[in-house]
Amino acid sequence: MSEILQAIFTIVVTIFITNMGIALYGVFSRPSLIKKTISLVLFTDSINIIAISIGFRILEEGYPKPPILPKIPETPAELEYFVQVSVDPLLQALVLTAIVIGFAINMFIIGLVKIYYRHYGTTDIRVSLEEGKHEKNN
Amino acid sequence: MKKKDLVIAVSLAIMVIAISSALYAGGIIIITPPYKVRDLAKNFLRYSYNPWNGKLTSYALNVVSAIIWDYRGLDTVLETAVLYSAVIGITVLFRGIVEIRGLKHRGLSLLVKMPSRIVIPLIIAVGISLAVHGHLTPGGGFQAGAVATVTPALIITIFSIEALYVLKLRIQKLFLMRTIAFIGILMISISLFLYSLMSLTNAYVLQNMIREHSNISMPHWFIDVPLAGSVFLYNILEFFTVFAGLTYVFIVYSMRRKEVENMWEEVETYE
Repeated sequence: MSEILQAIFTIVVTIFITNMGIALYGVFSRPSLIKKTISLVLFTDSINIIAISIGFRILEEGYPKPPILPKIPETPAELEYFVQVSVDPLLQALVLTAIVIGFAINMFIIGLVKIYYRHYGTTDIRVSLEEGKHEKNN
Repeated sequence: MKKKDLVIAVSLAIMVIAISSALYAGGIIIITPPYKVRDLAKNFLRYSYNPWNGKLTSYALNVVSAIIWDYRGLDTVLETAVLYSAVIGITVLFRGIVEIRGLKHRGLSLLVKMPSRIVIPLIIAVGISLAVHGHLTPGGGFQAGAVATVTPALIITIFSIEALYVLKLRIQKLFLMRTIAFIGILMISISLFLYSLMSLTNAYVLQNMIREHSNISMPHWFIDVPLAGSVFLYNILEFFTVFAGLTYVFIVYSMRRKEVENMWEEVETYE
């Protein structure tokens, strides 16, 4: 059972590393600012999923549990069993912080894109580049 | 132009292969998740709810919530400050907007409107329950706020932005709500410290439960439920900050043409 789990884990991590590369391609070479923003969101999310997967663990038998106590423990042994089967909670907490900060940044980026659209009438980044060249020549 | 695309594609492919091979270097092709978690994680799991060790516990069943608001509380307060500054940045970018009531609006068809009238209160109920039970079940303040913010987004798309104005969700009010909740988070983080100054005992900033050299704590038990002290209060206040902040941004971003006309004038005079 754990071999199948390992194989699935490997495939998932590889997929998200590839996803990271594709998202970076979008950030670099798409001219539309909205598509750049979407790619940036995909990039952040792929990295977050890789970060969560570092906290994953496997067990000799059964599946790992989420880091939430199912009920109030009555004896120290019950608590110790929870420690033995649960996954790493620290990475989940750090990724939650990363998600919130990424969310704040994306909100602000979309505001900037809206201002850009109102100024130029398009979200194509090349328009502003050409205008800059024109001003320099004059 | 085509040469540039090719260079980007090849370099990204090299990056993907390099990161993958670096990750898999430990095992043979297959990456192996460990059988044991790290010692740091073990300590968090062991002390999150541990009545047998009163000096390290936070009485929260949800370990992630305990880490976010207790063990690494300063990070989260600063994270809330980042979200707050993003909202302030949007206010500065979109200065000069005015809310105008009574513009023409139609919304979607009755077929969409009726079910959404039933669904919207349910979504708000789910959000509030996620916030209130944030220290017991999966959830927490930010997730709850994000869930509850779906309702203003739905109202704007299905009815109109006018419906939000009828519900008295004005942007000034939302900004005030956000600021008050953020100040509330800051006040709770220093409340035990201020209390200790008055009663001449020791306490730390962002303290929740009894710690070494400090004997005062937030309430950790409410009738028959663990309350986790400040984790519960932080979750509720974070719910309000996130809900007010995101709703504010949704309203600003979906303003109609007549409402943003003045923004242009202001930007031009500024230039």
